Amino acid sequence: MDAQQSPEPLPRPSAGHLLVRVGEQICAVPVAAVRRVVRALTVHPLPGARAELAGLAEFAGEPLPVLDLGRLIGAPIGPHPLFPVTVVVWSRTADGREAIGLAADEALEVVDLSASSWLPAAGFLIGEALFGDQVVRVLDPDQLGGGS
Amino acid sequence: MSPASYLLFHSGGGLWGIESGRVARIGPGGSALRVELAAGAMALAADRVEGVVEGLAVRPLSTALRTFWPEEGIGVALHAGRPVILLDPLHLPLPLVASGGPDA
Repeated sequence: MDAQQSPEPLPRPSAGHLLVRVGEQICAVPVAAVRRVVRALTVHPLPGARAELAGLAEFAGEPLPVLDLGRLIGAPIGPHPLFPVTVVVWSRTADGREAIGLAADEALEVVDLSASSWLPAAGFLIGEALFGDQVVRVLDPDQLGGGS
Repeated sequence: MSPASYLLFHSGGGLWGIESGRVARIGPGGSALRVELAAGAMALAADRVEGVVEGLAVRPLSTALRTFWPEEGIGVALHAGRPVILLDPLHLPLPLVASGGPDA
């Protein structure tokens, strides 16, 4: 085995991402983590919650926390966004997985980002990928459930 | 062992529940209702009371919920298709705590 280590490559987003628009920003969610895209769920706010948490909704007979995707990825949004779509994703946790809703404007298409050039990013993002002439912020759903 | 019963109430746009046995009195308070708890615990501010229910299927608070909602609760359930957070009477969310004393 070669003892000389090459620089550790930047992690690359795997193929298959659902592009989701929120405001003027495009976000990519790994398709493997997408459970369903539905018309906006009725969300009930929780006083004291962080700004990213829009509130709680009901989905498939279970309580579902719904997050404001724009705030999650640091995308500028208007003062009264409507968010007509909820993208329900799976997030891996230490105990298994849990469903989380992402309030967004529009689900666009599934694309392959594996060949895109991209930069790493912090927080809830895997990184930022260049798709065409658009910078796409790639969400890491597992970070939403504790980052297991 | 009888199933737990919860007083459900609306406050701040959300639906909340607390074990009904912990409730000492409900009366006017401020612009809405004041739910006083037994044993000297604090009181809760309620916009309106939904009622008392039994048989809620209580799930633990999810990891994401605990990440983005820094308050404490004993679980979450659904009532009539609407999420309800069940409160720990010893760790009430500050935004729900009633200020001042009961109205005369």
